[in-house]
Amino acid sequence: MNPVGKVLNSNKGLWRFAGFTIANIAGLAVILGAFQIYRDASPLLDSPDSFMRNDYVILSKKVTSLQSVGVGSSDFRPAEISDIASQPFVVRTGVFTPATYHIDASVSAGGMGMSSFLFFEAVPDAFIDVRSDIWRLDTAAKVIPIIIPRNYLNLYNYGFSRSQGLPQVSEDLFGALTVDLRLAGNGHTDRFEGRIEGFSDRLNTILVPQDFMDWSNARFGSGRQPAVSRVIAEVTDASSDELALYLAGHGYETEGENAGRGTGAWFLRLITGIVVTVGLIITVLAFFLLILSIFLLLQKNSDKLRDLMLLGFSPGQVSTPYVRLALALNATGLVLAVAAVRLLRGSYLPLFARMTPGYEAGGFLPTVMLGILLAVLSAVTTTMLIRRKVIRLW
Amino acid sequence: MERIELQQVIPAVFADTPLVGSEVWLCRAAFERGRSYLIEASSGLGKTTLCSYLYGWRSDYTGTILYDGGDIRGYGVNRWTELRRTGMAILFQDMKLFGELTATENVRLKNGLTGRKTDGEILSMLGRLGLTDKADSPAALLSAGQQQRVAFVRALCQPFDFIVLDEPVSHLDEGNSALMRDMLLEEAGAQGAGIIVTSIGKHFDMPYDKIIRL
Repeated sequence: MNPVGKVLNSNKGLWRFAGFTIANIAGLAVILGAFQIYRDASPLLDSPDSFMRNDYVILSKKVTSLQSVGVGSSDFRPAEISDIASQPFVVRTGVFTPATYHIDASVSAGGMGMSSFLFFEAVPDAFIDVRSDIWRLDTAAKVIPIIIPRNYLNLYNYGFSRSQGLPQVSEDLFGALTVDLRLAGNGHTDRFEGRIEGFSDRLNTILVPQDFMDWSNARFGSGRQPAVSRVIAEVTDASSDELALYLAGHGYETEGENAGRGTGAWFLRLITGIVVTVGLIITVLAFFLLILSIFLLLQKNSDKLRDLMLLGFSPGQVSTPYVRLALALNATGLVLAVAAVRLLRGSYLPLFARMTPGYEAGGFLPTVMLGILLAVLSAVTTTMLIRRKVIRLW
Repeated sequence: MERIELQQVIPAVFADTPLVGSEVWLCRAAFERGRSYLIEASSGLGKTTLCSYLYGWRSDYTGTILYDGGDIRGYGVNRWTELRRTGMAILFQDMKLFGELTATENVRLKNGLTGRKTDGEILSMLGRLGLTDKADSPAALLSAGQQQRVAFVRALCQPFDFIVLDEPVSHLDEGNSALMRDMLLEEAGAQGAGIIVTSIGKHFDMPYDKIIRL
């Protein structure tokens, strides 16, 4: 054994250090576990709409009976839109542009055909997360990319097809169908092919690219500027109190499941925050236990430390056994805490995966990095405190 | 380092005590490399205090101590650490051995810092002072005289310009005292170092260049 270590008996007080290690593992595991669960659970609450940006809300006004008979309007006035845009929690706004022409759609598959009137709407492309080479006007190819509500698919699969003895259709298969579209108005009639690019849980509309909408409204449309009945707004935090108050104050409604998701996400954040705080408190207490134990050892050995320095050992050299001890304990705590989180994760991930088809867990690496960061922070602080204490003995 | 100089130095504890006839306190005193000094005093006049000032672990004095003209009050931790490894050797009055280490381990502890002696040399030095059979005994179990010899061997395990010995023979008989003196003169002679010995009466029998009353 290194004679300096032997002189300093740095392995004394093992029980106290075991106490620190256990407390440290507990604290770190709570922090890292909460962090990991937050990351793994967020996809459950966040939008499964891969093509829609996350923090946005769709605002509309409540339709009243009076409006049905022509009194009042559920449309947004320009002043109201600019007021929404000027709120501090709103990043940007866009309006829904409806098609002002006639649309016929027909689908034929396996010898069966269906046809229907249809409507289109568009929102600015900035709100949509689809590859820009797909989501654009291509009049030459006569193909229109479309996003439809997932409800339509569910309506067909669970309502219509079962009762009519028709086969159920998967999202992939449905996406592979092409829809024949006939656009008419303003003296023009054109045929297009509609290609379904995605399904949305949040948007209750049939969405086409903005530039296609502008072009087609100009070609087939009636020419009058359509009124704005819905506003889409990107917000800093869809679950914030300010937003909820603002909406309630102006009598606006939000569409889709966003509100529910927002509440869920808010609770997840709240609970994670509480758990992480508890973990931090445990970790900080463990850290104090470590520092106190090491200081006690330093105090017990203060004469020997002084004598070693009189012999020509530097403060750094005599600190080394304690620094090593602190590093070893921190590293042990980190490894065991990460292992504990790994085990915990193994127990809940299959459940999450069963709850949500296509579930993708958050990565494990950020948690490990966070653990390393905390352990390094603790080790660096401990090292500094030990050095300072030893210098004071000089 | 060539010269140690004390100018009007007085330990804080003596500030109010009239000192009569001291050739060190509140005087100008100097020690030069290559020469040997005996500092004589009765108990309580500050021999160990002087050693602690020279070795930099106390500084509760007024006046100035200069090493080659530089005030040692300005020395930092690194400077002292370096000096204790390569400039100044010391035999502490209370030895400052580590009881849980063996005699050899105590010497190796210092030698590990300087790499000055080989293991064989250390054992032969201990042997020369009659400690061969105690080389592997814990220092705590050695007699005061044996501990003094171990601490002396340890003090020689470094290069030095000055060696300070605080009452080096207080626990030794004539024979061991003479052996230690011979080793001291050989080592210091080889390095051209200065020797500063304190004593309350008993001391190495050797020709000092200067005897100073504290």
